[in-house]
Amino acid sequence: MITEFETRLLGIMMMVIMLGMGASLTWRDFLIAFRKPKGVLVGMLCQFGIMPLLGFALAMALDLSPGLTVGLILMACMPGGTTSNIFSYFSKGVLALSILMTTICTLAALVLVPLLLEFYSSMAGLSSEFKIPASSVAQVLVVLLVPTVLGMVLRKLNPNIGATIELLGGFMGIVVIVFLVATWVPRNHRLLAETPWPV
Amino acid sequence: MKNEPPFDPTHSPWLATYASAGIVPQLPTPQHASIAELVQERCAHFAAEQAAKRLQHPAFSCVMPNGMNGRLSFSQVNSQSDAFAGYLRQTLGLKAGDRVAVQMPNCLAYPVVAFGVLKAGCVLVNTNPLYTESEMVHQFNDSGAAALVVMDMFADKLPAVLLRTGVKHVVLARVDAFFPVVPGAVIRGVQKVWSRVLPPVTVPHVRLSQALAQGSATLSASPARTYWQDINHGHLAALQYTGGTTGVSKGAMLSHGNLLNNVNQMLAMGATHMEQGRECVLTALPLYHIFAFTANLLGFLSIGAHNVLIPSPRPVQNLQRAVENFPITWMTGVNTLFNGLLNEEWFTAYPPRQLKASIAGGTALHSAVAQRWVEVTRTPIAEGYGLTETSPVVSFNPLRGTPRLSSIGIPAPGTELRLVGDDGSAVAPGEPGEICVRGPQVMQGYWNNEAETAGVLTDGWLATGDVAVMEPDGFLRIVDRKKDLVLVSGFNVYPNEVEDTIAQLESVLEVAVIGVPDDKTGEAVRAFVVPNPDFRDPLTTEQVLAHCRKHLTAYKVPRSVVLRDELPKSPIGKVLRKTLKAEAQVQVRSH
Repeated sequence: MITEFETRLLGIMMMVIMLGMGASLTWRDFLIAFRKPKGVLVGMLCQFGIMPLLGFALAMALDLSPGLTVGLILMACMPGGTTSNIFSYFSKGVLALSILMTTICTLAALVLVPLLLEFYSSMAGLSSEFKIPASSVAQVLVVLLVPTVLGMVLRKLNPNIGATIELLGGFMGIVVIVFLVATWVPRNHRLLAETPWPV
Repeated sequence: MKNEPPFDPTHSPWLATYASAGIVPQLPTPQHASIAELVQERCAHFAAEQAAKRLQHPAFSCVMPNGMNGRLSFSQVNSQSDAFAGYLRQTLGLKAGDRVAVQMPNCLAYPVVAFGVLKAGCVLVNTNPLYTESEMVHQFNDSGAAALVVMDMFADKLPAVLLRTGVKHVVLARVDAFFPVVPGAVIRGVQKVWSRVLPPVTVPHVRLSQALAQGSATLSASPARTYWQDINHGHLAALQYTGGTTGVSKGAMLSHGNLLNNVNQMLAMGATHMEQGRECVLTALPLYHIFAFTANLLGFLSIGAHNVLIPSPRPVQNLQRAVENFPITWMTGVNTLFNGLLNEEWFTAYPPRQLKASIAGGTALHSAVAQRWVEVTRTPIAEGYGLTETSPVVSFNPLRGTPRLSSIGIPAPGTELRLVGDDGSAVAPGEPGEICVRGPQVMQGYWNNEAETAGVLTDGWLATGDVAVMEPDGFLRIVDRKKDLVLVSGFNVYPNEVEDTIAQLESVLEVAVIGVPDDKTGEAVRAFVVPNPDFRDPLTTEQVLAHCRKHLTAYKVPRSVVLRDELPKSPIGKVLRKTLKAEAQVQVRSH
């Protein structure tokens, strides 16, 4: 599990990363992204259409216990966060579109996640009530958007500062991803050990 | 029309167009005696403007693909080039007239070094950083270069080259010269550790920073002015080796007068769209090529513009940060560059808002590209024509008024031009003939090559090897290079015309046309086509041929069409027809 300290540290690193991502963008990149509503729609379809369905199907196929079923469906409904932006940046995708999607999906999650969870849970024969506190959503958006805008402003003021921040943000992005991947097993070894094979 | 007087080839029909285009027909005598004086006086003037807060921008910025940049102010340009001149004359002991080879891509060190060489009274030998060892050896030996200033990324060829030439001194420059500390360190770090482009330097050399420090120390005893104050228009400024698209490279001797006059000719053309001290020109073309050297380095500097230098314009995405971060008002480029930018969404969605005009040179500007450029940027693009041997501007399209597509425009003020037939006399009006030029921009001859010089220069008239047609109002249309003509059953086919036709297809990204030997017709037309990757349906050779049959006479239609991923290009972006021809020869021989 992640400790409180690690959570805070991760939060700060995410902000630095988004600062860097913002420094690689101009407001025109966002304008170009706005002209691609198809992209956002496809993203939302994947995020809120396909993912939860996959989660539900997987839970049914593996015949999971009620607790795990709800957990899996919930996980599948959750919108992508900062990490998706990091991947977009490094694969030279349209970063502005990725950030736009993250924002819209996070906002939509307020309404859609509880709905989808209720829907799929009842399909599984379970009942569950789940509400995402608005403050969580606000927090996610602040961590996402404020550094992005700040990064864009810094780039406008001084391209050298912007480019340096972008480099730092990118570097930090790699560090975070590698850290998360590499330390997942050691950090969760107890959980892994305790969970028996038949799920 | 029957009652018109016979066309007089010595009469210049384009003079009437000057007036309507806002171009002053009289070419003024350059006010400076040498390029050194121009640099000194103009930079001092704009440095004073800067101090009085009437000018807000530096003389040069250099922008890396990631947006990191450095700058040189007008006063720095003067002080640093003075220091380099001192280094050359005092520390190295070079004499006036000695040749100094400079081999760097666009960077802040370039103006410092080039102007330093000219202020030292030496002769500049621009050298392509991508040259192979044998090309470098040929150029250094032919020019007799005594010193070489080279960018550290290209120092790996030095040991082999120096053994075979008379170069005695090597100065090493860095692409991040004059950059602020942090970006400079980042760039160096990336070059050393990440992309590993810095080879170990094993030959004796001096770093540019050291050279400048040493040179600067000599200035109090011997101010730089003493080296250049006696230079006049007749003195040699540069040996500009012509790109080997036709043969062995030769050094065109360009005097201070040649270059200064051509700067004035270029400024006369662009005057309607240029404001002193307010322009910001994107310099993606290499400064070691005569087009950007005269237009961007000398021309725009003399009007106090901000030169935004791009070290590496390929791929074209490298320009994105420069275009987004700087208020570009002018661009110089070649067809490949403009075409490349028009295929980038970040450019076409939001073209630079302050752009006023662009000049295209180096190679023919396809009319499809020109039209699209004007549509997307809503600014004029003037195609110009010239050669290394003419410093380079010979003719251009006026920026004012409706652009005439596929025309190279009218001769620049002060240029005499006539079209000559195979017999050596002027052709009848409207008939194609070889362009011959006389004027203050024509070179002094080829360095140490009487034979080649005599082959092109007669009585001050330079035979360009380009065939053109002149319209009644003086506008010229290039038909093709004499040597590139394809003779199909005795009929002349001009590859440019076929290329232009094929380029009209939206599904075509680039095209090159050459002649290949043919049993039946002597020569046959072959088109090499690069399909546009963004186009939905894949391009087929049948589509290309059908399009050609619709627009061209039968003998001009290509006998074969070859689809390719890319075309061989020279460093400036000119498609190399000779390479395609050589490949075709190999294929024929191997059958």
